[in-house]
Amino acid sequence: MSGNRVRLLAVGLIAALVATGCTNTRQDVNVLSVAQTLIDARKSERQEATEIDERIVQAQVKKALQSERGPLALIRFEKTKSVAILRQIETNGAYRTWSTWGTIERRSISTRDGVITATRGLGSDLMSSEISGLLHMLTRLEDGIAQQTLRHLDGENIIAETVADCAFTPDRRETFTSGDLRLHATRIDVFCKTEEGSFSNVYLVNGSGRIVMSRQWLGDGIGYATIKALR
Amino acid sequence: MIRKRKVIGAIAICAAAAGPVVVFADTLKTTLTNNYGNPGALIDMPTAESAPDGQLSTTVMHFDGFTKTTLSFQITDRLSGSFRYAATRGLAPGFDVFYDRSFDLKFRVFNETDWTPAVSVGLRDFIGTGILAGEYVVATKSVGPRLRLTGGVGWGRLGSYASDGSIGTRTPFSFAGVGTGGNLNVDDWFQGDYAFFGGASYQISDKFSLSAEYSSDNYDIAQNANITTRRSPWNVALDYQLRDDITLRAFGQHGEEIGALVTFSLNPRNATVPGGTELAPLPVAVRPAGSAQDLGWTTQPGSTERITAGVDTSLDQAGLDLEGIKLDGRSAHVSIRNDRYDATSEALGRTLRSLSRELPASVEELHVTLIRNGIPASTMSFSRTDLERLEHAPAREALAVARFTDTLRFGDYPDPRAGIYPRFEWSVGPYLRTSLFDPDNPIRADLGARARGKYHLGSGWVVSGSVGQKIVGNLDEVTRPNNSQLPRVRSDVSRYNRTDEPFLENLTVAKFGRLGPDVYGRVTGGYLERMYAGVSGEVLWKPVNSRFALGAEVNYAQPRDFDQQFGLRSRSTPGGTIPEFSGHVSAYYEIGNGFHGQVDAGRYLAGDWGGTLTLDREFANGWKVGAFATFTDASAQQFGEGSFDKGIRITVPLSWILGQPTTQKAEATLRPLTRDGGQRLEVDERLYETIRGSHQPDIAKSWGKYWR
Repeated sequence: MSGNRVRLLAVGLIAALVATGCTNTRQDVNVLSVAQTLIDARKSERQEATEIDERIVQAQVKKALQSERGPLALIRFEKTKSVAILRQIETNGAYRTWSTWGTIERRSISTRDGVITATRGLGSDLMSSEISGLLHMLTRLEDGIAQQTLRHLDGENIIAETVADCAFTPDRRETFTSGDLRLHATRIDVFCKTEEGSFSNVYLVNGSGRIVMSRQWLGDGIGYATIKALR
Repeated sequence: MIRKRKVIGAIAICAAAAGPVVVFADTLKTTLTNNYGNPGALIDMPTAESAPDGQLSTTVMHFDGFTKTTLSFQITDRLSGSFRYAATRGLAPGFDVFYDRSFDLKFRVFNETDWTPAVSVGLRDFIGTGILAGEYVVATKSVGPRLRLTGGVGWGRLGSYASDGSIGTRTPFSFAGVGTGGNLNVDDWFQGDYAFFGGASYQISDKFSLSAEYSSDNYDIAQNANITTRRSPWNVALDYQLRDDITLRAFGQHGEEIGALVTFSLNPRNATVPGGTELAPLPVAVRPAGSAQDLGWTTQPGSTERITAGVDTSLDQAGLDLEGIKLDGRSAHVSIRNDRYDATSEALGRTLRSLSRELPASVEELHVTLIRNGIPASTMSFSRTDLERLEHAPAREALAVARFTDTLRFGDYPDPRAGIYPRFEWSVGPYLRTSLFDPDNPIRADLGARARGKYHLGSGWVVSGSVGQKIVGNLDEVTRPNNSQLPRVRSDVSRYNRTDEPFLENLTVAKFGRLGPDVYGRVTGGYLERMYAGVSGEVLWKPVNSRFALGAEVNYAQPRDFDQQFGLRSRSTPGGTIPEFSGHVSAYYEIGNGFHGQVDAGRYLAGDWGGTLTLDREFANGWKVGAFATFTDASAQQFGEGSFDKGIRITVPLSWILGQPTTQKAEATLRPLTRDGGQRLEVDERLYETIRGSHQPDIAKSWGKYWR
């Protein structure tokens, strides 16, 4: 059942039953915000995702590299065709948490060794991942099979695990250019099968074992995202 | 592309026709409903199919003179229930349109296998007047992904055409025998004439499906009333899936009638945006190695104030309120008020994330006390090392190390900071009040404006009030004579609806308190609800990690004037004197598997003694669909039409629709009839619902949101 449609159906009844016009409490959901949600939903249904001009992206990348000293990355979401420059805002052991550079809106992703393990604030977020097997395979640069686990919240707010069996196929070496980086890296194609479907991820690993680019499936809601290191 | 598990269930039929074919052992699911609103692809006849678990559908069916509106709920994977409101023109002597309410149940006894069909047993109209009463055993088998074949045997109406035999005896239906209705005629179930029926449904494409049936319902009552003619036992239907949640159907019935049906459906398990669209939480700040030894900050003057201000700001940005904080070198204890997050786990998670960023490195033990109505409801403890270690781990690992303690057992909790109390809350908004099922006009409503205020004085003292003003509506047009034989505790509702002046919904002073470990108390006095003023006292025993709770409530009440101003009226009514005292003992139990039960026993408003049984299906996201029934010593005769009080209640969390966290929810109670037996006082903020959201079993249900 598509979300927006469910919303359209249920909302009239419910808005009438609970709506508040205005309030000074934290329950600041009112009739107008319900209506706004509806309008936004209708709009996004009609709007086609549009590609952002690559020149604008590159100009922003350049600006970010000049003004920011820490780690930077570029992320693209295939479904929405949206692009964002990420800067690292926190580290926790092997994990790094990134947030969008140049905006104060808090949406974040977390990575481990260049692989996305979680997202926050994107809707249908990837809550956490188990990727030890995946990282092991990526550093060996050999054919093989490993398991990967993705965890999402389902419609009831219960964690649903998707366990994927993935086949790793190291492919050709290619030149990788991104921001300040220009290096040779091995492309590794990963085909994963789950109970209900399949997805194909791609990783680029350089000579010292660093994962500099990753195209990953992050779940049904978000779809595919590609993250590239910029320095 | 991957399909999520939950989606598969909901669109099993479409998937089979449109996308990659996914075959499950038990795919006998359908989102179609028949003329009775029951899940099933046939027309009048039942099938062994079920709707996806949790599916909620409303079906409106009409053909010449006959209209049925049915609300159906797939209570469990195997059990479904329906509540129906049927209107039939010219059916009964003395009525232009005969309105009738009825309930159905259907249970799938056997699942379909490769070689054997699914088998379901069902009861139609088992607790109403019996006009639609019928019982059946039915089998359905899928043949390939598109075709389903059904055959069954029915009794009652379902055994009325071409009967093949008879078992025992069945009291024939008569309007004279309806009496007050609402009886469980167990003796008649699966008794009397039986007949065989059958049918087939075929999925033509992802949008269209076709079905045909051989009906064993002879429509005897309608044919005797000369309002329909049944020329043929064959019925056919064509379905069109307009949208995922709307199905349209045209059907031909009895070789005579053409009719139409529309089904609206939704499933509480499919949220608008799973996990919500709220912005990201703060990342956990990990302390540098060795820094935890540094207690230097404790000797710096003003450091506590600085830290408090930091925590306060950080929590405020997260939509939470810091009521109090207690800091020492190694531990921190905060008390918070959460009016934002419907999943308490998310409020706790965000609080700890804030603490990790604001507290000095030496603070290892973190304690969070949840404050409800000014009193502590529970204390959750989490070590900072675990917080740092588990940020990227599965949520279940964090649940395993989170400790929940009754605040009074935990010991002391922080005093409210200066300026927290008194606190005034207000809201202004529209209200909608409805009256359903009046035979003179089945749907009536008032729309108006309402202003609410709440003054929190601290230490559990709360003054609250609500005033309203009707703007437009027709609830005052109710003219049904009130013939209640009990003290008129609720049946005078139409007189309360007749005011055009501003009215005082409630105005109360309440004191919430902790009477001891695991024990909570409440006393509320004033204008308790629109019909009663008085004093209500309640005690609740609920250990913080327990799924079981006990409560007791005693009320003293005086009826309010019909204009709902400040006056009271006499307790004597034509049906008897309204007693001053009522009260209950209650037991609450979180059964598991998403079910919650409640039993209340005591004295009801009209002085009748008895008990109420309530069973709810509670989804972790806050949706609730439940039913209740009250049996008291007021006889069916005294109670009047319906025989006893019963109904359905539904709670919809607004976050489910908006994809944003909010504690707001829509609650609706649907009673076939509201009369005077089995009625209770409506007091705001009864303890169990106030407290349980802060306790471990409830928090654990939506624990997945802890790291969200």
